[in-house]
Amino acid sequence: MDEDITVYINNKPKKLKNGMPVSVSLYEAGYYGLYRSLKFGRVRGIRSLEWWGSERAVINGFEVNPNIRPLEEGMHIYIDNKNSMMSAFIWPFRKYFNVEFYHNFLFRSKIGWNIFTRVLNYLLPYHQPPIDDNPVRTFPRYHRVKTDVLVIGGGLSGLATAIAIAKSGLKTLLVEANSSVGGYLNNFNEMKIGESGSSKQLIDKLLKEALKYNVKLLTNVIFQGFLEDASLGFNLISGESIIFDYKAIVIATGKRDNFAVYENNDLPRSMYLSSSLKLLNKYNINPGSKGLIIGFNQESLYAAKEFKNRGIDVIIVDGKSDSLKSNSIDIKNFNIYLDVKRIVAYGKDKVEGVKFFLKDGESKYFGIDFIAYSPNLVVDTEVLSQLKIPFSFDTRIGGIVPLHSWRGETTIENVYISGSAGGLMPYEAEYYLSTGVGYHVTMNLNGKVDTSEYESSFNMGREILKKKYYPIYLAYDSLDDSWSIGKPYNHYDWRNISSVFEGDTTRMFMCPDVDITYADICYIVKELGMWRMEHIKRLSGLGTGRGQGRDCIFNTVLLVNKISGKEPIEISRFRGRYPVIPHNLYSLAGGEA
Amino acid sequence: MKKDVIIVGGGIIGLSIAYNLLKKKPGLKVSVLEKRYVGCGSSTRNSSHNRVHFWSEENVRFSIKSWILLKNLSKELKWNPIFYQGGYLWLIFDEKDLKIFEDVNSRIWSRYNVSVSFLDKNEVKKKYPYLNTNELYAGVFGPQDGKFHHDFVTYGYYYNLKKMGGEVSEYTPVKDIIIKNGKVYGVKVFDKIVESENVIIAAGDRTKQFFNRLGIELPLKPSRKENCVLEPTKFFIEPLIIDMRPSSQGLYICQTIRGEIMGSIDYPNIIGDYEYNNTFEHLNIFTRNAINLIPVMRYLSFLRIWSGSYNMSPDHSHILGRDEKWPEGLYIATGYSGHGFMLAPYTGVVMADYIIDGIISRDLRPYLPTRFKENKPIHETMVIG
Repeated sequence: MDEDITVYINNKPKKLKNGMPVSVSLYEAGYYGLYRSLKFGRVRGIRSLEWWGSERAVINGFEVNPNIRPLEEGMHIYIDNKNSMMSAFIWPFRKYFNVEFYHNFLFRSKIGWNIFTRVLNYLLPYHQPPIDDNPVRTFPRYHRVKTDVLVIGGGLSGLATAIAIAKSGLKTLLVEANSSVGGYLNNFNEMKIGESGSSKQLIDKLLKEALKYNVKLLTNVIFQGFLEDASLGFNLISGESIIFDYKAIVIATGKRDNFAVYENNDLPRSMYLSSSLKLLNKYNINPGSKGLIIGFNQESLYAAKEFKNRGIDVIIVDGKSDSLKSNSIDIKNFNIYLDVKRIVAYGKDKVEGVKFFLKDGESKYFGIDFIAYSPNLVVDTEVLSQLKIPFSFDTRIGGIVPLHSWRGETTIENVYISGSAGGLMPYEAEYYLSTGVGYHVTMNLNGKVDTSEYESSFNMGREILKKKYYPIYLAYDSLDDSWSIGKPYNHYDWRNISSVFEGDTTRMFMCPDVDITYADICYIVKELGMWRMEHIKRLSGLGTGRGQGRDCIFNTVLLVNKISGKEPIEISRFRGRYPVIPHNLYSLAGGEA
Repeated sequence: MKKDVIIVGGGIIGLSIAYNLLKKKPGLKVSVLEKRYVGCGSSTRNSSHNRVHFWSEENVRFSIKSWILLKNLSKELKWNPIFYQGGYLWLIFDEKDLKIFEDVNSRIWSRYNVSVSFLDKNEVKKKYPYLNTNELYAGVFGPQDGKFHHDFVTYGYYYNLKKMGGEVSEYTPVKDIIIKNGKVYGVKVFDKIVESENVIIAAGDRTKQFFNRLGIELPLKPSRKENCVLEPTKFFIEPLIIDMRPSSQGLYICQTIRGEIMGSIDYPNIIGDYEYNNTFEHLNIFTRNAINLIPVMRYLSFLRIWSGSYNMSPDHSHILGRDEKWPEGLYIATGYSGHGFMLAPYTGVVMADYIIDGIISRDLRPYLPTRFKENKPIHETMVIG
């Protein structure tokens, strides 16, 4: 399986390691850049390694997500791994290429605009699909899957919820986008969960239990969202569309790392912390020999430990000054700098060094070859924002949080939320509360539920939250009154979150997809006086790229709040649109199987 | 404080009228009241194309004037509307359809210098190699038509309006129009009354409800249109392509110069005040028809879908101005049947002239709301999508 196979990279034959997605094989072979960015033509590499990632590469003539495409013999891969001449010319003048640049005199004038539209196609970093005018005679058929309860997400909470539902004999279908269950915990080799043992053991135990109770598992399937007359899924391997018929749906999409905004944060070899761990643990590839981790929390410490075990030196930095109380890992072993105000990554087409500035003005330079960022964790709101569920804003539990009750009920009937998708919480609490949500869903569907188990799982979960786990969860003490179905609320304390650093704002990308920088947001808020996310989206194009706003929404709310002082709920988020990830047209065009 | 003119609706029509009012008479107290944010509604939910190829004389005249304004907008507003003259391409599969185009050309288009070129099957194939031309009979290409960035046009008007002293209030829904003694007295906003003798209702789909409450029936029907946005590729589909086959359900496909391919069909036909949602029915038929026309699309994916609305009038043309029988000072500007954005720049000019000078110009007269009673509709049948 792991033999090398020959593929063509930019038309030159090259042997790459098999058995992995294209992006990983390329990384392993030293191709860090994959594509060029929309405005500046800057080279960009892997960032997420996930099915939802906005990375792209040209494979056999078409731009696809290289994270979900396995490597195949004879594949033609076209990548842009060098900064273009154009970009070298534009970059020093980036100050003038802000959101306003279309509107300056040169572009606005008839002659200027004519010239620009003529050369536009040379500048657009996208690929021209090959001309193929052969009529298509047959279309694939879509499938219909019927179940009682549909659970979205096969992480800790998804599994726990599904088991609780399936126990009563209700037909339960669990949809997981990756090839294996485990969710965010899968990134770590071993993570201690409460007093019960390691993460691996817990997931294995839950998976066995799920199979015992006949939970039907659909892996490699993306739940794309809700349409008026159907809920759709997409199979990444077979490329088929699936329509789900269900009586109730549980959203357990969990959380992910937040994007970090520092100078040159778009350089290849800077990625989410979870992706660097994925390289290390899933594919057995070292992301680099010396790295920088942005973010000082439980997850980053576990990651640092795993890097250290593999002989990779890491430095941990964070903008916060609060120290973290964790008994499981000894902090003394690590090189940690807190209260960092500014981070600058250096390198031409990959990260080669980093300099950061401490509070007292002191600066440090380190030669490193990768950056992993997880300044904080954020709730995954992609599926829920398609429904008109009101969102609250709470920095303690992951930013934009859907309103729901303890039992997982939302403002929409038959839609439930389970686990971190409704706000971050410790893994142990997540397990108990998700089980409780499962029992509650069962009860509402007239299934048989053991009331003592129902009560005890909720009580145990809430007990853990009240135990003052570590600082960010302290607020759960008052959860009873505020965090239930009611009015959206704001609770933000930016001392807990530092994902947007200071520095040369024209080099700090809020959204690397469409090249919107910190300076652009400042321009819109200060000069144009627009501070609502809907306006910012329309004036800048933020959130209209492949990522559809995944990387940028939270940080932009943070930034706009900092500049304008407006409340995060008022700044709001733009409505998420169907689908969650780009959906192939061909798979939808047929009739029902 | 009393306003000179209140405009209900902060879409492109409302902003354009307000801008032109102030341009014509600086110092006028103009207030635009918007229920949500500027441009929310059809001004942000459209495929941002413009054309001069209408099938009725009145609309051709109106759209040419609007097109000239749109082309020179960057000079006037100091905002770049990202205007690109890519043309419209009608694909004709039936000899009868071609006859209609030739007839319109000789009757109307040639008289107004609206140029059009008739292409045979091979010419279409050569110029647009990505099209499946198997059943094609001919193509009609309108070179003057083009595309623009709708948000930049909206914000261009918005900022210039503000600079000139106009007032735009977002998140201020108007509850009612207040009439006293057969005259407009003002509007009710947040339990307060804002006084004004002139109220223009340019609220798109919501316009009908305001008039209904005043006991005036308008023959308007909102019709929901869904749209599908594909992931960006290099800009290769220059014109907006319209498939004239009845089996294609009004399919059109276009590409923004940023690279996103967009398209839609006129199905399912949802009429009434529905939420801006999308259906699987639309996706299913749209993808099939689109791949049928541009086979390479089968390899592409769509990024997002959205839906907007056409505010349909019986003769597929807008309703402007006022009826003499209405309360004095009440005006309307709506019912564009899907052509609102492209006709907005000139609508502003015509309406400003009417409100300030009180003169019904040659371009305004055919669009008065009285035309339905007088049985003088505009003979417009060309509605795309």
